Amino acid sequence: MNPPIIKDEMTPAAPTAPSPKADAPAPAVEELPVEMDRLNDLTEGNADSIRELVDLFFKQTTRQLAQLEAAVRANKADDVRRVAHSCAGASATLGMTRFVPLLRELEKQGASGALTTAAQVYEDAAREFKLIQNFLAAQLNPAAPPPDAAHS
Amino acid sequence: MKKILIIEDDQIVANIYRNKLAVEGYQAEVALDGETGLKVMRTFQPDAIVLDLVLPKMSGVEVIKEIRSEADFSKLPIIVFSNTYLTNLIQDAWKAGATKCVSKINCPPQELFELMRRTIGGVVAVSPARPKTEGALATKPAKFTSETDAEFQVEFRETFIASLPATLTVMRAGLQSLIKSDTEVARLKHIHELYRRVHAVNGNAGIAGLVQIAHLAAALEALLKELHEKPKNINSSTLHTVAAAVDFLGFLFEHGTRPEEQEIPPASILVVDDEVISRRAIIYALEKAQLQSVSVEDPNAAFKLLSENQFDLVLLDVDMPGMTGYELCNKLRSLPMHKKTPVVFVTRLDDFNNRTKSMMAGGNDFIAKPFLFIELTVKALIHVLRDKFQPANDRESSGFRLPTS
Repeated sequence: MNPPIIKDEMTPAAPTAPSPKADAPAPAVEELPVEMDRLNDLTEGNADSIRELVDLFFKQTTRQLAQLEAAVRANKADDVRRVAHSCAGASATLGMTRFVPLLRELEKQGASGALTTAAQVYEDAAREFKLIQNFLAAQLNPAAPPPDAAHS
Repeated sequence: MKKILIIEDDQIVANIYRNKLAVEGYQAEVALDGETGLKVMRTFQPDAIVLDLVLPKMSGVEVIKEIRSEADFSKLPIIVFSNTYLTNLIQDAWKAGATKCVSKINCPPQELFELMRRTIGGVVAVSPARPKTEGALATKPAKFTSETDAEFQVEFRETFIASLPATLTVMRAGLQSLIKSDTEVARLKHIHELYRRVHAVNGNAGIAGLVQIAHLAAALEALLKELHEKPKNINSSTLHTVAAAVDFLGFLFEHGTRPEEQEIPPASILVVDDEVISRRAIIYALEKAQLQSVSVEDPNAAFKLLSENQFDLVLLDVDMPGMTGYELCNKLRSLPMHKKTPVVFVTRLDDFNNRTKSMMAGGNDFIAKPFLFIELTVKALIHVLRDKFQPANDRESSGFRLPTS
């Protein structure tokens, strides 16, 4: 009854996202901030469900980023690890492909107890979150101006 | 006489449906791929089309779009055979202009006939015409009358069951080739071959009334399709799930063919994850297979629930505040009623590759975050179905443990 053995060298076919460095160059191939297929799959393409889920994600992530900023400033490594872990889980589930590696880096630094570049990584994550918000706003309300433009 | 065109690449399945429609008084033709189907449609001028969505060369959705682009056929009823686990594909079919979508899992010939009668009207039954295309069942139309549907299904089931050992051998060989592949091109080729094979099992099992095999095959087919379309999702977790599904199909081929025991057993599933979006994703994946669950965010609340209730499957996040998934698993193993309850950890890929903690904690299986929703569906189906064959007090928790090498 045991499944066939899978050799470890088989894994994975596609490289996992590398741990980002604060000064890492931008990827050569432009990657969209959100994998819309996952959002569509999770909501079965229902526009109201997507909006509700996105709204939940925005509220939760806004709160978590504020917690992360405070934890980084206070050098509370375990708080950084815990919040980044939770935020990364939700973001990965929804297909936030560029956001997740930044959060994983924060989680890693938090777990190691050395928040060496955490402040810079946090800034990158906050910037990426803005891009996600703009991207999703454009996807869900094509006629509306992006949040940045509306506030400028 | 009303005319029906069946576009279906599995010739056995196509012939069975054609024969049934023929004995019920319809004139039915078969095309084995989309391009041929479109050509036949223009000359045959059918009153309705029965279309499989998964076809070689040209997809079913592309076929629908082509049909709808031609003025003569813009209103033609198109009945689509779909896999309920391919939700995006079904949506695409609706958008392209499908009239009805029916699941292959639950569509024996009589169901198709009833559906056709409701859609384009009934006809007076005539003597069955011999089918024009060749196929394994092409010599049996005379026996295939409304009165002998059940008899036919028994006969078809026996033939199908007899073919299952050979099918399993081919599937296992394909799986081994997939696992040994060292390039993405080779992997995709083997995934596609396995996908076609599983697709055929799904269709034939549905006609044979073997719902459990059809369900698992349909879910595995959807997982393989997703891996083929998005190769970046091929990793140790997804490959392990594919391997476990093929393995369990083999088990069902041997032990799950009793027609009177084909229901998907109701299951009680507990989901424990402190993060709301992850919980929602897990619940959604379970609902794909109509599996109901209870979800909690607090591991202590989960332990209380476990202390008071029997569950058939527990899905655990690992990193939770207050108590880790490993700790919760250890604790639940102290409860007599959960000594053998399957526990699946939902965790990061890095942790997936480091399995020791899970094994030590008494876990049975792993799935890596961010998981493909259909991957979790397949995994849950395996555990729930397996539970039916192996009552809790007999279950060996090592049965579906991860390979340790």
